[in-house]
Amino acid sequence: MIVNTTRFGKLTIDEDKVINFPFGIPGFPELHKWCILTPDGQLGISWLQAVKDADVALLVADPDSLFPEYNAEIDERDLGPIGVTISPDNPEVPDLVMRVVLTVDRDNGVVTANLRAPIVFNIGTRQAIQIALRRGDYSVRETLTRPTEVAKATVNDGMEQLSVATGT
Amino acid sequence: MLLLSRKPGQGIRIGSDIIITVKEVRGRQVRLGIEAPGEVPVYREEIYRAIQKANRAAAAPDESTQSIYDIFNKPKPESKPDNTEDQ
Repeated sequence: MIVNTTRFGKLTIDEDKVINFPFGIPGFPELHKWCILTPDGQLGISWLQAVKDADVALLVADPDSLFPEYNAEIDERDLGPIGVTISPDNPEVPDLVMRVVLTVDRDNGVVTANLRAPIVFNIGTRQAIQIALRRGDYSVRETLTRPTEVAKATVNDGMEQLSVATGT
Repeated sequence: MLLLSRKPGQGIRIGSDIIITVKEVRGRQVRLGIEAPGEVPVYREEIYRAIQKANRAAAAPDESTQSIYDIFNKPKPESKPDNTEDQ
């Protein structure tokens, strides 16, 4: 399918790379279909691009490589919308991957990450949701003191099954 | 905005599946119980607003994608001491 993007032009991606956010994300509740673009496979950051709005794309990164002490306590009940139901009959935890949204201030080079509301992806069902952590006091705008560390991060935690390499 | 007054123990039903119950009022704080289907997300409003604002700022289109990658690849300046470690 064709995905128009402001940053990367017109892309052709497989239907099975489209990720469904049942509630969109705060700020864009009407946008349910997104895809992960990795223009440079070397960097530990990707773009979460809205399929239906060419302008809307967010930088996302693996929080473990940026904040080794990040301990996001995720309540399983918050994952119900993306098909995670853990019960005594069904105790297996599906393949989940977490990313945090980065905001870049291009005037001063300051990069911040939203540690309060990570995005959780269910790789098997290709669904995702941005959840607000119920516990902990993480910031919505946590400064990255060393943005260049992201350049060294490798991405092979399952997200590569959903990523589209755009090769720009 | 619909305004309703409730006493502790009383509830509000939204649609057919969402019930908010006033559990306790203590001073200026109200404790609420929320029953909603598992697939409906529930947020504290101010947190939702903060996430909304952060997402909109993060998604704003920019002139040059390459300049963002320059920030990530740029070596850290040596001049200033690193005094931003307050996490």
